[in-house]
Amino acid sequence: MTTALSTAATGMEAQQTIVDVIANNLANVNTTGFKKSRVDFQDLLYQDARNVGSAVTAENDVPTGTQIGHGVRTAAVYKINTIGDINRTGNELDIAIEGDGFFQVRMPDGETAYTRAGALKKDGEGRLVTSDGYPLEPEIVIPENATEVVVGKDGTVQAFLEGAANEATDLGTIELARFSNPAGLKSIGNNLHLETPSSGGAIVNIPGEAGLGTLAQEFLEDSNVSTMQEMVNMISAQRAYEINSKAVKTADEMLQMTNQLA
Amino acid sequence: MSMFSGIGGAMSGATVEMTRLQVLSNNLANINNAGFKQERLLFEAELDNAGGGMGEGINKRSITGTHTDFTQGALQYTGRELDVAIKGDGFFKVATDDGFAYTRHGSFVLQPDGALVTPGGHQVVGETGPVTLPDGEVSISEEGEILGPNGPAGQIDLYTVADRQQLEKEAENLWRRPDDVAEELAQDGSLHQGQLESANVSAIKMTTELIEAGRSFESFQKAIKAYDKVAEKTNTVGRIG
Repeated sequence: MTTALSTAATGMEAQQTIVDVIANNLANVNTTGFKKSRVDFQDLLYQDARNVGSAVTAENDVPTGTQIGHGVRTAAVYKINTIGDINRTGNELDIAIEGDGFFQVRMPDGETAYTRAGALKKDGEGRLVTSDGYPLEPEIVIPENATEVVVGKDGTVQAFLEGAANEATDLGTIELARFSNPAGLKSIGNNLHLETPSSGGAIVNIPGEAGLGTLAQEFLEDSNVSTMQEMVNMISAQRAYEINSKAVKTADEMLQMTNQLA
Repeated sequence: MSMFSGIGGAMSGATVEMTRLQVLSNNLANINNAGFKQERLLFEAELDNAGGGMGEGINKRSITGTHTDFTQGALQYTGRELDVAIKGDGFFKVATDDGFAYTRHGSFVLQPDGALVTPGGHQVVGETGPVTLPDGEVSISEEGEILGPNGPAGQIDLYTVADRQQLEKEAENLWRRPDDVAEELAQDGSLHQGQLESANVSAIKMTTELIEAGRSFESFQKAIKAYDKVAEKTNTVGRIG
């Protein structure tokens, strides 16, 4: 009897997790380069009250066993790495990745983090940095007297300097990294991700090579969250929560009636 | 004739309803679990002391088993490359520590070496062995052919057994095949990439069954109480004063 109570409770917990994940997806609907997450479930152990195929008599087997389940649990919450819409911003340091790949960013502790949020800025030394001030890896420094910065599809960065409007100066190349299993990256907030054993090692190359996407200057990638889809999922989770709570209520009523017997 | 066959019948009925609630709760808990198949509780009326001439005890019920309802769940579009739904008959075959198992939960993930695994880490296996996806964009046809950036890259096969009720349900969305049941390739199942199969649990049906279980439990409880009253009265028959 209490089994039904705890089973229904696992169901309510599962729906709660869905709503938690949806809330985070929706909160990031306008976050550049954000990838939505999804919850994956698995059922819990089945208790075999009577096994399939066990003997009833010497000649007869039980045709169907009695298997009582114990509910559900969260198996994983993983990122869905579909590409978001690419939107023109007109800002010359906004760079979107069209296709697979991540910008490499150097963290203060020397570790490399990965991001698709290409709203880059210049820091005090002219380095290209993310909104949080972490420099791109390899570093690209824009001279103070640059009038225009041009980023090619293949990652080459050039600048036109003051007084030399007809001659571009090479500043370096933006390199991208990709992973065989990007869903295995660890999100650490601020749009940043870290490599893990399950993501596999970073495959670094210039944009357009080795399966990497190309760069689009003056564009940003929207999040891949569809508000409509999330709302529909939220309604369905809410209703599922409700019906699981009804199972709890029924179990409670049965227990109450049992208590009233004596 | 004894009083107690009646109270026993009511008790067996109440017990069945309790078990039914457990089965319903599990179905409901898994209502958002892709590829989940709902369970039904099978019970039968047992003739207790039939032929006694009084028709007593025919309301006794007992559980004969659970039955997995394998009807198709609705396919839901997700757009995720590694989501694969099965339409029709068949299961994905996966390797576990205790041998092969079957699943319809098609939200796969990749391991760094390209192995196609369930979120529980069990690798998909086909006729040609463990399934590994090539690097880059991959498409999976309805027949299970894997097409990578450099052409064909293997095959996902679907398997089934003659009587699916003989499969045993396990945790992690797996079914296991008893040793004496033969496996065969599924003939009329197709794969659908970028989609997931919803659980085949109907919220409306479950709600009505919940009400039904609660109400029949209530009437059995009332019957038990009534028998108790009658027994009490019997004990006082003939008492003077």
